[in-house]
Amino acid sequence: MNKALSGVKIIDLTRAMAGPFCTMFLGDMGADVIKVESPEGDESRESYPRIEGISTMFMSANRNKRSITANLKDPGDVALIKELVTHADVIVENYRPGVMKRLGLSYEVLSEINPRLIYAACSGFGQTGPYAELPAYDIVIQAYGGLMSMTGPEGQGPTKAGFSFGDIGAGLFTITGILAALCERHESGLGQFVDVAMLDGQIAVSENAIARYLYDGELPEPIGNRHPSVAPDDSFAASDGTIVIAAGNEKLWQALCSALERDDLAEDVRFKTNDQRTQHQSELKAEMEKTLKWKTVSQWRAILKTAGVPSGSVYGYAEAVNDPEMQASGMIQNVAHPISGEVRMPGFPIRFSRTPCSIDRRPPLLGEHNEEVLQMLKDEYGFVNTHI
Amino acid sequence: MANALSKFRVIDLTHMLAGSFCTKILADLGADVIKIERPDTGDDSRMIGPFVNGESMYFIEQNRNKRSVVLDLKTEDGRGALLKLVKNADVLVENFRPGVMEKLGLGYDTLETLNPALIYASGTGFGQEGPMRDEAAYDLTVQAFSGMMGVTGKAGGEYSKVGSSVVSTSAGTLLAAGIIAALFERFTSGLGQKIDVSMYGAASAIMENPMMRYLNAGIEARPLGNRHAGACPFSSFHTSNGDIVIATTTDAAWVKLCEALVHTELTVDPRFITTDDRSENWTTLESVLNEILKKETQEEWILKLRAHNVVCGKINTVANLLEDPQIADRKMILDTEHPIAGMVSVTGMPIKLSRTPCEIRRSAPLLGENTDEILYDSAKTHF
Repeated sequence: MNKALSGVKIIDLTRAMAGPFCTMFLGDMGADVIKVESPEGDESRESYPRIEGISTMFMSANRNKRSITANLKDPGDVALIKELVTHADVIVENYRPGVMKRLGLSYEVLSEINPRLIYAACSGFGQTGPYAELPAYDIVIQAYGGLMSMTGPEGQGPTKAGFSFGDIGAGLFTITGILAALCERHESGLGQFVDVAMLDGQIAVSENAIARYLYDGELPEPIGNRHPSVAPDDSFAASDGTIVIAAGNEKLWQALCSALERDDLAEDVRFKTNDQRTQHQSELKAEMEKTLKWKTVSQWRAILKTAGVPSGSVYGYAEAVNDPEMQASGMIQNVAHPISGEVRMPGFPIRFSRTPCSIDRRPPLLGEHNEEVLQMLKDEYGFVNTHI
Repeated sequence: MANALSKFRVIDLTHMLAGSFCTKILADLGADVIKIERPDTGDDSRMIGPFVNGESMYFIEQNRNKRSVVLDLKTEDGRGALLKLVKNADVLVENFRPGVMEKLGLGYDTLETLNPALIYASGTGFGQEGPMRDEAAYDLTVQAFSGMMGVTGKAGGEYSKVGSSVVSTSAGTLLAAGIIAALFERFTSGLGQKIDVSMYGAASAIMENPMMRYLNAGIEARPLGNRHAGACPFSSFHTSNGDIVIATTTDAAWVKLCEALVHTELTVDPRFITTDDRSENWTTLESVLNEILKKETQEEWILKLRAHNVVCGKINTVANLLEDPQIADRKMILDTEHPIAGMVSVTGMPIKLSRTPCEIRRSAPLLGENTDEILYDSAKTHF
């Protein structure tokens, strides 16, 4: 079956997480992704834990790709990359700004070779600005972009999101930018440069944090689990544990009061509008907990589900993955790997009715497709290179 | 200058954050996004603060570059008007619970018959299938249920949510990506299709590394505060005037850090030789480092650490962001003129395209601001 990006050729010079995550999704959608690795391989191949020597981090972001090795300091290999780029639609890289230019593979050079090329660069701080060339890890970006300053238990200082959201956010925007440029190229016939910074990605998802500071004079800081501008939208104590409840509009608020059998709250002048409930959120929480403490989390989950009010158990990671919903969601896929054996990895968050995603290639071994890709270049374009 | 998606028209039935974030991306990329709102109150997010002259900044942030049409989809007239719009649209985006569109007579089967090239995109909490399809969801409930809270927080402390609605914004971005991929595919096939993105699926996908580790190596991710599961030291520290993060991933980087701190004796301290040693003696190491770092300011340390090629950075607050030269250079905070709120600041676009850049063409619409112009236009052109 055809896929959304069947026929799209991508040269992938990315390493670590943000870039590989991006190109994996494009591969899931059917693009032919050729991952170019240094002779030592993508640094994420070194990370732990490993399954029979193969890194789980590498496997989590590199399915649906072919791997070739190239030494970008070797002119012969640079020529090979240029040949690949000549016939490609997209190149993606996540080096620090300036590195590709030093390698002789700048956008100016490559767009000259192939004016239809979409060149996507995913970097820490972006291609421009005073800090463009600074190195960035996920934690540096979560810290710099302000997300840490508003995450964590109240009064306990900044906390980072417990997964690599600095990387992942940038990966998501890079995917979207590449797709938009592909769409536009259909009309114009021209490629372009797509510049995505991990830092910019953090600002883009800051919700209303900047507005809260500018217009309410409230400096966003860690406030535990509650939403800064919506109430009730927080975690609450039930008789046997914690439950989260989010009633973000008037209809849900009324439904919640009925479900709690607390019509008094619906009538209370402190809680008439979302804005008033937010201002009095600690009193509101105390009132709700007076009632919530009489039943268990699962009892309240059932009651609130019937009432149509969003609620949730607070899961540890293992509980989350073992929940029947996760098992039924298709978000766990099995892949056979020649060394690691049967490996389980995340599925596809985008479901297409006519062109569904699938895993057609397991994560590649280092340089596994060197000969295959050279042969392809020879057969299809008459290009001969023995350097690889 | 044309924008990347200028050719496309999107009918936007979404409300609150995930859906509106999706159509904001499409609108920033140039699509003509027509936001359909219900009479009287409109999108629920118009009720979320902060407010400037009574206008919600939450709404203004997520809805620039869109036009607003008021339709009551519970009436025959409202549905009729929507069908006219859909007939000539490229994309419809909705984030009702599964089944609601069918009940309104606006399910995919109906709309596909009317317009076979239509891309119909659904954003939901738990997807169109599965045991929880009917559950209502907000960002917080999905953060709780997906295990995202379960990996976030202080070490040994309670689970904590990520302080902005990253599940909603990630799901919205994935939905936008799916829509643009389907538009691209349509150039070849001439056909539309249905796209289904759930907040739950998005949360699971963006936590790919914890999932791989747990399912294949049996290692359960838990809150570690600001520490890294493998590398050490890789965390936040106190200086004399605020916190900074320092990230070392190799023994060589650890040595560089000690040199930058002018405490090279630490490199030969038997407690701190290897990553494993340093992780094992983390509590001691953390207090040793904090003791040294608190003697100078954030700015002084960052200069010294960078001079030794140690990866580090400030922990910025939102107030810092507004004065930051990098954020300014990247145009990540922009001014936009709103007819009632006046000149207000919103976030910029994280996708920088060289030839067809994103831009703010209009501020967020007032409720129903464009009803007449669009319905009249639609009637005149197509019926």
